[in-house]
Amino acid sequence: MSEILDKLFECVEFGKINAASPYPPQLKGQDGASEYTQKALAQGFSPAEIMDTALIPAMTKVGQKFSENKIFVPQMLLSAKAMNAALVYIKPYFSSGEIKRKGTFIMGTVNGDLHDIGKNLVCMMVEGAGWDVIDLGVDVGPEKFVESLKQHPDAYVGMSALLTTTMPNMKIIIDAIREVNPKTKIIVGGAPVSADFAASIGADAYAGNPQEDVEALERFREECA
Amino acid sequence: MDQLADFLHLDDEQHPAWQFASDKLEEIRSLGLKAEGCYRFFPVEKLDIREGTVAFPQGVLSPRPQVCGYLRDSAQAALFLCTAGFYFTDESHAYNSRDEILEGYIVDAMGSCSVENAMDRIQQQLSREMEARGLHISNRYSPGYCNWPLADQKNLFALMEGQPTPVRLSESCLMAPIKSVSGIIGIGEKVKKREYGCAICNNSTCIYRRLVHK
Repeated sequence: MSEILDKLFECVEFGKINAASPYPPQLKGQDGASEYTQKALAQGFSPAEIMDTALIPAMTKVGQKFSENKIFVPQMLLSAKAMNAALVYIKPYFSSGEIKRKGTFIMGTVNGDLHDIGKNLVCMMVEGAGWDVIDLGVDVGPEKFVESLKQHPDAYVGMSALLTTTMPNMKIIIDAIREVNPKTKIIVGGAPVSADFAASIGADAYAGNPQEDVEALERFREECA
Repeated sequence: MDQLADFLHLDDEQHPAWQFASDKLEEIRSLGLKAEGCYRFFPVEKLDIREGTVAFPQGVLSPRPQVCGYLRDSAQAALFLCTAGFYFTDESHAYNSRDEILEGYIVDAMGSCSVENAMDRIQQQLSREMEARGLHISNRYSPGYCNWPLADQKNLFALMEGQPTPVRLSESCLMAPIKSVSGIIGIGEKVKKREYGCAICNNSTCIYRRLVHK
């Protein structure tokens, strides 16, 4: 990898947003993710190369560090800010088709539940891993999941619940999705959810943290390839 | 700030999250927000540890055997409600809607700390009142923790009908404002205050265990 992409990787990993950002101290006074992305494009690196060799691997490393308890939510969110600063210059190439996305991921917190932190972290990490993410928000019932899936029939679906009382809604949503598209791959997660529960309601995967969502999606993609 | 930093696992004062949290705490203090809470006493008719139930003349709660064990020797119980209000959740959503997710997360965490701090004060006040009468109190226990089914919160709210706080319960047992707590404290001459929280809970997948013990 070139030096400039190495630097971009480092900025995202440690949350160096731009040149004005004083954090992290070891990168103070240097360019950040914003400047390095612009420079990489100016030097002729393709947007896809920037994504595939710097941004996505950096966020993958952040996700791994989080799942290994080496960093915590604030550090992960700061990395996401640096990633977003880079994506400002990369996103226009998403719509032009110059960067091929891995697929579409529809995500929501199930009906009856208003907790959104876990869902937001998952959306952020999945997007950082190169997926288009459709965030349906909180208190999302079967109709809204199905409607979104009709618009994006090849999408994968993720759902979150933080209450034991709303966990059963996951099964209702899964059943509704299966009626429309039996092959849709579905990931469930949230504090009270377990792998056993996920299997019992017919989900295709359980994710205990955002990185596990990313890994499950990669598995699904390989299975479909 | 120290409590919030612990909650967020922040140990670097130079981290932008620390700086934001510090400034935001000052801002929130200037707003003069007040947490609201209350407790109501109920005589314990029967505490069935094996069945995991506690019966009052007005109704029955089912906190399950573990929590009932911690309420052992309670002659009465104080059921409580406490809320930090809507501010924290509204403010967190406002940050998130502007893609300021780090800030949104920190404000949400502030709400969690705020309601627990308020409940600490209420518990201390209750303890002083009871100690003055020669009685002791247990720790506080809430539906959703230590295997106490969240659904039993409906029975708790029924017992607290007419309570003066703005806390309301949804069909799915989600409290509004979200930054609220409810639960039970045992009271009696021989009641002991035991450890609380993750130390006594065996829910290994709970998000709070992850937050506190990562």
